[in-house]
Amino acid sequence: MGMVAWFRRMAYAQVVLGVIAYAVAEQNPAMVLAAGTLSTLSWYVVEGPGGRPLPRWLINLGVILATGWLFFTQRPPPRQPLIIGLGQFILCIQIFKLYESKQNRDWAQLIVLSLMQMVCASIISAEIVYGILLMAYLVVTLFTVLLFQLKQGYDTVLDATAAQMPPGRPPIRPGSVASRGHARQFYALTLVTGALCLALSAAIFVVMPRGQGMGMLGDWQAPTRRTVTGFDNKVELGGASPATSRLPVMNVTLLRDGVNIGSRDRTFLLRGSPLDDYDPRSHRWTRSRAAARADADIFLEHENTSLLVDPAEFVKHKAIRQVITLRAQTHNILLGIYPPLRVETDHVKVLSFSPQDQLLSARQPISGSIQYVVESADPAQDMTQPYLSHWGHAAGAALTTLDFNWTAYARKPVVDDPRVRRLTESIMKAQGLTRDRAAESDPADPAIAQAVERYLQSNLNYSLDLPEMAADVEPIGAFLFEYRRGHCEYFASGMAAMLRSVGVRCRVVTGFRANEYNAVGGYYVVRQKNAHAWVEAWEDSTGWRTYDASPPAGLEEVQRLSGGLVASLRDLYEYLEFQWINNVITYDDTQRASVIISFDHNLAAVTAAAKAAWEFVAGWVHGLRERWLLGPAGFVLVGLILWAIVVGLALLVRIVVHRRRAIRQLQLEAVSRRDQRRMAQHLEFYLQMLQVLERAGHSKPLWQTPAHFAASLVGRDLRRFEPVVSLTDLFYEIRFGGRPLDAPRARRIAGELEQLRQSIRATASASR
Amino acid sequence: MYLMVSAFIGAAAFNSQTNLLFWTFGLMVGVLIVSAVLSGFMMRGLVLRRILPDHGAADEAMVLRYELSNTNWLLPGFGLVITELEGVREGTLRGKPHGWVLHIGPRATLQAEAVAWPVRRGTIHFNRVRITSTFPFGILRRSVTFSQPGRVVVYPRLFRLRREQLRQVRSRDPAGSRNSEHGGGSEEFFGLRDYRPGDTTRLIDWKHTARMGRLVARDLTRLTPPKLIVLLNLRNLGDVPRACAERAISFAASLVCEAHMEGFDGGLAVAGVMCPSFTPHHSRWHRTRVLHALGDVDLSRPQENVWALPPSRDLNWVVIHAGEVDRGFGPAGAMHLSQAELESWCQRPEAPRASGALAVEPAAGVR
Repeated sequence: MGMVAWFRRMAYAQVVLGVIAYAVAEQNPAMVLAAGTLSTLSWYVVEGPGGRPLPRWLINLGVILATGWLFFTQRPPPRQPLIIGLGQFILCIQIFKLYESKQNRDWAQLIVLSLMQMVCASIISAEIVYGILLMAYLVVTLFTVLLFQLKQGYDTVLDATAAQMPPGRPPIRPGSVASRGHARQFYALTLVTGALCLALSAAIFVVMPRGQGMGMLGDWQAPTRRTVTGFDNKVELGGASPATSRLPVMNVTLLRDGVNIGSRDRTFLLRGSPLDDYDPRSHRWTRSRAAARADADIFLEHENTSLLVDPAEFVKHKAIRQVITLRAQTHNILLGIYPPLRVETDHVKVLSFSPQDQLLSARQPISGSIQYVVESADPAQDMTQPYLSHWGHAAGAALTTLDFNWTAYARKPVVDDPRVRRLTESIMKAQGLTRDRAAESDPADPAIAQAVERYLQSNLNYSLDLPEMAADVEPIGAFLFEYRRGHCEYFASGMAAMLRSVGVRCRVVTGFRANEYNAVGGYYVVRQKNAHAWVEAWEDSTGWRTYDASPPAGLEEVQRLSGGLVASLRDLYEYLEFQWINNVITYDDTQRASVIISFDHNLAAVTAAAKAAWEFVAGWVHGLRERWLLGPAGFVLVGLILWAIVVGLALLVRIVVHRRRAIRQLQLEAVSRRDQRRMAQHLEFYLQMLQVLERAGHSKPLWQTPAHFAASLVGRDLRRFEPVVSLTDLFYEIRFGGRPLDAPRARRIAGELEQLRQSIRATASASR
Repeated sequence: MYLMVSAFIGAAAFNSQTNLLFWTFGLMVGVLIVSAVLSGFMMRGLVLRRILPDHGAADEAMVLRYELSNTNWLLPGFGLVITELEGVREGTLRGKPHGWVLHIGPRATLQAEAVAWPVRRGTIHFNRVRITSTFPFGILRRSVTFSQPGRVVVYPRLFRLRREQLRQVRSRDPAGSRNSEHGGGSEEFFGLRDYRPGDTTRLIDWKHTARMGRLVARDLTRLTPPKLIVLLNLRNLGDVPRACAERAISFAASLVCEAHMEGFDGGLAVAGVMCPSFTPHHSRWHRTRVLHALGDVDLSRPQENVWALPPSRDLNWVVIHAGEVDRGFGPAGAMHLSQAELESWCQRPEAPRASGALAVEPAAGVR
């Protein structure tokens, strides 16, 4: 009963762990605290000393209230996603049920509810913390379910026994019948079962086709609790400072020609949204409607990859491959190093790409974690970009050209402040640069942009601590001439304002600056605090070029990395989380194909090795024949020798097995190894006697002593089984009396055995 | 149900392309496969042998033992429920006997037991016994059935009778205990015989020894206990309800047991059905034979006037009638009892029972 008694504790542990894991998946610390405390407290209330379950009506009332709450939150428009509402509903029901008196049916309900809740949690969470809790939960659940089966079996027998009892008598509890080492074997079997289940589930997980049947039961997206505030598809000056949260947004692995080129010294910009339109009233940078009209759809339903440029351009440029695991929402924008050439993903079926401002985004909302690959031209090496003409060479039949006013694009003055133009012109003058404001482009534009970039980096300070600005104050002018400090959005806006004041075509771009390299995993971790803004300016010969006016020192100070042991541990934790997301959460058809191909290759290698081994054997036989001039008779001889060897080995194995069995049957395990062999030989007559008796239908149970067995046989028929008594006496003499198996004893044993055989034969013939 | 839930999760996984749902689906399929394989191998290696008791008694627990062996080399068995499939249908057992084995190791043999409650006297025929297990996950119920015919005779329900009632039977015999017609005892002078080696020297009758010229010993008589023969009148069974007949048999069996405990030589004769007769004797084995015979009485096959006992002196006859008392039946001087008088013969329980058909105290288990 001991093992069955564990069940309650394990079941409580399972439910409490499930409740906490769900609260962790929702990233709700208050829920972790409340649900964890309530569920843990239930053990003391119900199962503790003097514990009493709550009355059934109170529990039913609670369940009704929880059901009402679920319907209330899901009435249109729903206050929260259905899956989250369902998860919270199940959580409430479980906590109520923990406080009630429980029969087997209630336990089964609790286990099933807990499992359903974990399914909900698995849908809404991709965190490694949840993954660890899930693993612990599965182990506890495995033990719980197995113990529950034992308990159910026991209760079935108990109920059946109680039903048989005459009225008024207490039921007889079934005794605990178990072999030696049952607890150890239970643990071992549980672990083996768990490992087998896990291996099978992993195999099924790997081979299940992905991308098939998506949306067949309706369009449904898994909700996520996390939103990103660091990155936005607009810039609003005078608002809140950029986020400084360390929450990861994405992981990026940089590859060139299949080699990881990431390092701690290398930083790069991940381009998100280009913003060409500034509204002086709201002080907001947005993407103009004209640019948005040029968006074209790219369908990835049949192939998971698409070129964004002309194939010739793609071949011409040396591409950097970025494997990006998106872990949080980025307003459907797929970020990458500028300029993107090709995109590849299994998780998004319809992309949108604008050849005008090269904004890459998903048509459907991106929820949870996805993985995609962007191949971009290396900006450090390829000065000539693939988007030379203002229409570009975007690939894909779906890309269309629209009536687009290129002349006006990204040239509209940002602020109506003469000080801005005067400042820019003074900078240009200091550099000996001039420009016609009306000209669409000028060869001096890159030099002007560089001069402005240098001016801003050198003369203004980077700061996240900005003074309060009145609503009627123009923030760009205030930044450039009064406060002379600001963060990246001010620097980008200031530079764009200065460039446009002299007619240079430019736009503000938001995205991330990746500078945190995780050496354990070989990838960059991009966090919310890495959100950044910079400027792209047009130049006729090379296209859009990137300028970052933010002072590098100030930027480094804000995005400074910590070091030491904590950083190493953090890297390790994030690596685990990355692996979890990369290999489980975002596992896709490409990875599946890769795994299957790898398996195929390994299988081919094994087959090739087997073939080589066979050829070696065949060659050896051939060599043997040539060396010894063996004819058919020779092969027969060799075959006979081999057969004799095999038979000899088989006999040897049989003898060993037979001896071990004899030792076990004679219960000689406790005897020293040397005596075991001797005694097994000397006492073999007893086993022969048992065989004779067994053939006659008289088996000796292992639990019965030889003396008891002999007595039971003699009790049935004294004359017939008399030799058994003699042989048993001899057995005791040799086994425990230390007497040798000398010749007289051997003769006596042979005689008694023969007598026993005859007597049994005589009885058999008489009964016939 | 499990398959339905698995299919639902699989459909949800395909629809949403959520990888953790794919994993959950894989886990559910994996659990199903492991469950099928594991339980299949676990049950395949089990061998069961039923060890039936020599007898049972109506309304008393009867323990059925099972020798269970696991021939698997590696795989233990867990959570095994042993169920008898026969016996219940015949109405001889109150519910199916169930046994439980928590664990049986690989290559291990152990004994399990199930408690059966026979409801009436007679023969219980056992045949099939089934081992069932839902281990490991409760998804599949695997069972293996063994066919092992066997029978157990159930003795009639036994009641503890009041001693004074039995003394009443004895007091009807004015002589009480009698001296045996054979020597070899230690009570009174019986006769003379030749001295035999081993006889105590105090038995030597020196006068006769001197007269005869050889050693002569005195032989003493043995005191024989009182003898009681129960004659069970089961004639005219067609006119007697079966319950009354069963009650009469229980009465007879209880009387035989009580007589044995009180030191009587007990015997039995049954009229009206096929049943062997037993001359009075005092031994546990003899008592068992009597009870066995009563347990085996088949009321469905009446046979008139088949009882017989060798004439014997000094017998106390008690005639128990299943129907109306027929004082003309049986030997002269016999005590006639009706099955309805059983209650007055039984010991009263100390406290009244909450429920129960008979307000009488069953006898302690017959060994």
